[in-house]
Amino acid sequence: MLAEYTGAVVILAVALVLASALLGIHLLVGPRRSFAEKDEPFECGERPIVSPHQRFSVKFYIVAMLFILFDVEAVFMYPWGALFTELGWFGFVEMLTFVAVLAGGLAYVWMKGALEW
Amino acid sequence: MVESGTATDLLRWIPLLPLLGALVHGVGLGLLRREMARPLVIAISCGAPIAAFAVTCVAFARLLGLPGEQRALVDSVYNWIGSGRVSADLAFSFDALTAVMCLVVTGVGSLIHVYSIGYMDDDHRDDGGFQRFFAYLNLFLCAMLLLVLGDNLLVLFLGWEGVGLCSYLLIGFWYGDRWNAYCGMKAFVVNRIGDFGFLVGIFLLLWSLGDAATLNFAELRAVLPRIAEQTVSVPAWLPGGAEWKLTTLIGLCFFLGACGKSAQIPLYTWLPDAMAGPTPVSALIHAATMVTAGVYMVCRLSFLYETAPGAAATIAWTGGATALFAATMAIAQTDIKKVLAYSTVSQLGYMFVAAGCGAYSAAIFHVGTHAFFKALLFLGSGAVILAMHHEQDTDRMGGLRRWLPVTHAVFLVAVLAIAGFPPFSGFFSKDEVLLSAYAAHQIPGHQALWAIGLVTAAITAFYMWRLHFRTFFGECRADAETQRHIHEPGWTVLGPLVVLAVLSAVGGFFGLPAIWGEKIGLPNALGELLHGVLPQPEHHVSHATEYALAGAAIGAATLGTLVAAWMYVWSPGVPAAIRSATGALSRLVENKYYVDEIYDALIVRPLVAISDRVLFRVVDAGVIDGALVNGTALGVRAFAGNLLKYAQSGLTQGYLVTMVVGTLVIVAWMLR
Amino acid sequence: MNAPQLDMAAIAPLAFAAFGALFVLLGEVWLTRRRTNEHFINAALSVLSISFLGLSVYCAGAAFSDGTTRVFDPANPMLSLDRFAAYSIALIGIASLLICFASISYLPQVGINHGEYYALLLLSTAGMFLLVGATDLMALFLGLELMSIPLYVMAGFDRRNLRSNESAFKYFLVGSFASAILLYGIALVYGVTGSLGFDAIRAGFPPGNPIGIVGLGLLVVGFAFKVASAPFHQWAPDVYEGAPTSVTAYMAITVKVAAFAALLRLLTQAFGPVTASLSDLFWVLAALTIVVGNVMAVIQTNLKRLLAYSSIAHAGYLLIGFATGTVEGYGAVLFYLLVYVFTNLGAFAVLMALAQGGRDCDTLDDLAGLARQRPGLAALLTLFALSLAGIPGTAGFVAKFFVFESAVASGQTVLAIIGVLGSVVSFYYYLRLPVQMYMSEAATETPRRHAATGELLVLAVCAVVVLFLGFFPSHAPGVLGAVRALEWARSSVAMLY
Repeated sequence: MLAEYTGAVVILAVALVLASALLGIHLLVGPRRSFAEKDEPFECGERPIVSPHQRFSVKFYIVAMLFILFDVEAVFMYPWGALFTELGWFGFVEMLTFVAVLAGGLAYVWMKGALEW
Repeated sequence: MVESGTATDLLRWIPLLPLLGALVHGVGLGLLRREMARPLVIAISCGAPIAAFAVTCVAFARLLGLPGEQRALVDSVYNWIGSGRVSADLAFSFDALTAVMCLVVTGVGSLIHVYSIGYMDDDHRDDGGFQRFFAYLNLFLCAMLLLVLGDNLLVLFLGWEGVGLCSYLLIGFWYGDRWNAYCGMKAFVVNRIGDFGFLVGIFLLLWSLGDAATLNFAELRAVLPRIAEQTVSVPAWLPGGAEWKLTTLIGLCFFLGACGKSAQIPLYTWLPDAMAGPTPVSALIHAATMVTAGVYMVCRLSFLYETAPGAAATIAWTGGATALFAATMAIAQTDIKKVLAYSTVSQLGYMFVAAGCGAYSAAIFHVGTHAFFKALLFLGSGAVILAMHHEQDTDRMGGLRRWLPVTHAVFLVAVLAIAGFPPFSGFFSKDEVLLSAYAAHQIPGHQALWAIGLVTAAITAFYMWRLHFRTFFGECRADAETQRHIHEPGWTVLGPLVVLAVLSAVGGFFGLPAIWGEKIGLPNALGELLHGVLPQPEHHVSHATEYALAGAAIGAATLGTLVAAWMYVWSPGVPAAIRSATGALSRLVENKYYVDEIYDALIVRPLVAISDRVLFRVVDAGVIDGALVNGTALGVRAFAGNLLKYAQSGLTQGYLVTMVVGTLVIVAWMLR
Repeated sequence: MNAPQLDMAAIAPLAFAAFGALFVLLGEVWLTRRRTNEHFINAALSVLSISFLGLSVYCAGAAFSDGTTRVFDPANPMLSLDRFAAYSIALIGIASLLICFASISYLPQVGINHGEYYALLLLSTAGMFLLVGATDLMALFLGLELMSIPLYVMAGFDRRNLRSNESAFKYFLVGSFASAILLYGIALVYGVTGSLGFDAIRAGFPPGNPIGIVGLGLLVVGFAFKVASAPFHQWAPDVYEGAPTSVTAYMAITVKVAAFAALLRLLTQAFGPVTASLSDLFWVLAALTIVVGNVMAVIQTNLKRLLAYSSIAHAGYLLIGFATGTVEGYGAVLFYLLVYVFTNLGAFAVLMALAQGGRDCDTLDDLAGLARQRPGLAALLTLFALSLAGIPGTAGFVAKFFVFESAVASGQTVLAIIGVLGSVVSFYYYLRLPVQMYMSEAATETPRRHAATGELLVLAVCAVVVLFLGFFPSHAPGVLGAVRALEWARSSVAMLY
């Protein structure tokens, strides 16, 4: 019964061997030299002017998250639209409920002022 | 359902009355937040036990009116736990055994309540201490009565835990001193070890009885023969081989519970520390009532122990060993209450000797007489302590009979009783106990047991007289200021003392053994009363032997008395000489054989260490603030290069690793 | 395609909670924009949440006494409201409702007076309702996540407090890890049976198939994490300590009920006969959890940590019921959960009533001298501690007795003995509470605030239930004759078979 999974096991083994081999060979034969320029974030010789750990306004994240949420909402509507006639009124009411819940969320973020830049 | 007695609604009032008293106080203090006037407190709290005593007397009269065969009253209040297989009512039964215990508890309890009025009078803390004390005392009485009246093991256990809880509250009553709180906690925790045995006993009983599982005493008695011959395998290195009788195992479990409550080896260490509580508490709980609960339980389960000779022999020998061991510890104590505490442990040992030897009525007889004279001793010592302004060390007493003639007189009666001089009560009950050990052929080494009892009797006489002489005789060693204020306490204190003195003097006549009763035409009332309830041992001892045994007991008591008189009255230099001659030995005895220290090193510290070092540092997260908040950085640095790097404090990575390992182990184990 | 025949009554409790969350969320912004008094907003939202939860509990109660099984979509059974679900929903609903009551005064005291709290609480409660009613692995997982995600946020609700942040983050990390394990288990079970519905799994589970067994094992591990059973318990003390007390109470109480109930349904309905082989696994988990929880609690000085280890220990006692694998054992588990809810809620409510001036009462020293300052609270906390320890006369004793008795009846005597031993150790740390309150003087004489009405109500309810169930676990007298708690628990389990 487990025989069905042989292929998966083989792939797993190959992946493991390959990955460790590549890393191992690199460690064994690769030259290792360390100097100041090389240790910089950009190894191309360009000097960084500011610290790479910059703070971004939290608004970026909020907008990004809200975008994803409502984007996913739209994704759900494609299969629904494709099957619209088959699902009939029941499907319509279902989707209306779904959108209503999301609209509640939208109303919340709007009234909270999260969309004001 | 086994018919267990005549139904009545009377019995529930016996525990209910003290409970009502406690509730009134609890509501007053907890919700109304104000202390009642003292006369009202007194009326309620002392009225409750006296009323309970009256109800007990009525029930007792009704019990005596019943024909001999069905001598029991039952009162089933309601079905408490009905879980299908096991059912237990909140029910009370009142047979001769319960009657005796109830009379002692409510009778002595009432006296001690009255005594407490005077004793606690100087408690003027602003937190309602006086009323709180009486609330706890009433609550205790309720629990104790539940214990002795309980119709099944669960009600008994309800009372059993209840008395433990009240004992804990009362030991730590004077919490100004943290030591007292520690003592209360110790008493409770040590008792829980015993309760572990008790509960395991209950579950083993339920398991072994299978479909016939029950907790009701009358039903248990009926179904027990079914498992009387079953055996269980135990590790072969245990005494008695690899096969034990099931009843022996169950009996030993219950006896572990009794050891905790009745302060027997190895669980006796809490009782001396329990003396941190107020003296009436020591008298009521740690001398007269609660500590005899273990003896009561063994007697209540006598039908079980009759089929478990191994358990019975263990009980007898544990009792004997405790009696002797505790008596030797009492020799070197100077605290008046500590002496009495070890003496209580020792006397409880006597009761277990009798119970183990099958002489259950002798055990109950000694419970009764001991309640009288030990309560008297404690209350008398309380009177001394009051007079000396809360001084308990006999090194600073002496010559007190000059100021306290009444206290001295009643204390003398109690000493005569506990030392075993006829015709005081202790003589007869102790004689019965020793006789039962001498005649118990089923117990291995029963004659050695008798000898131990006899030696203990001599030591008992010695340390009691030592206490008496050091307290009441010789020159007063207190400072002059204290001496000027010594005076007899008021009537609320002396009244109960006198009543108890009378009972200690004549209490023996309630259960006069036949050899003495025949002479003066007095029957053994207690023995006849308990006849139908408790199994009676079959003695094959001639009257001549009985007289000889009694003579030996009197001789032992006299010897102890004379040695005490020699050392503490006639040649006061002797004790110091002996102490210097036997340096290490007397230090060993004075320090109570270092048992507390040994337990601390063997049990308490390893437990804390396992919890702290092993489980905590290695397996679990840190409480240390730094490690928690700054977990990652500090934690790694602290453990860097250490094997514990991944299994430590507050690091989520460590938790995840443990989870993965745990998951793998579980999955691998399921696939095995 | 025809519209499916849906039984809306089957999702009534869930719907009330979920829509309640939405209403509370919108109500919060609406009220805040009108700049009304902050305390008024808090109280209004709390009352709104309580009303919605009350409706849920009412529906559950009606379904319970009705006793019939309602399936939401009979053609595709994923969610049902039966006696078992109704019992669990009522229990969770009442606990959440009481926590809302106590939160009215607690939140302002520690300065986290934000309306989203109630919305998150309702949302999480909705997840639990879904979890206990799920008869399909997909619905089960959905419920589990809907329960957990708001909890992660709630744990970090005191956002200016580092500990609270740490608590949330840890909970989130470890929780998602556990969800992944559970999901993997679901996938494997689906792999061998080809279905997600409990009935279909039961019919199609191939005995002895290693992949199926691994899947079952992973499911059990996932739940073991949620109920904080050793060796998956380590997160609990950290998370419980850091979260605000009301959230700790909510996590410790309702999550445990929901997860145990769901596990119970999963084992009986989806894996019926296979469950017998899990007896040994539960034996080990129970014994380990009891030992670890009780021994670790001994050295704790932080109250919330102490209660965390105590709740771990209680999870151990509950697992004893699972080790028996009998109807009696499972019935004892459900009864234990009932007692657990009210006893723990009472203990936590006392701690909440002691929080003041932006500080939680969370160390043992904070309790010193409480008996003199607030004798009522001290007495109540003593009562709850004694019930947690299992003193006869309290509900805790009866609950333990039933669990241990069921273990003995099914031949697991050794496990019962381990349980008794654990509860002996537990007295040591539970007693430290009364010792602190009654036998220590307060270090400072800062006046303590008076408990608010909401807290008093919760305390009164819990105290009454703890004492009532302690004396009348199976039958109640007089006018309360209809209260038969043990029978309710038993019959709820019996219908799963």
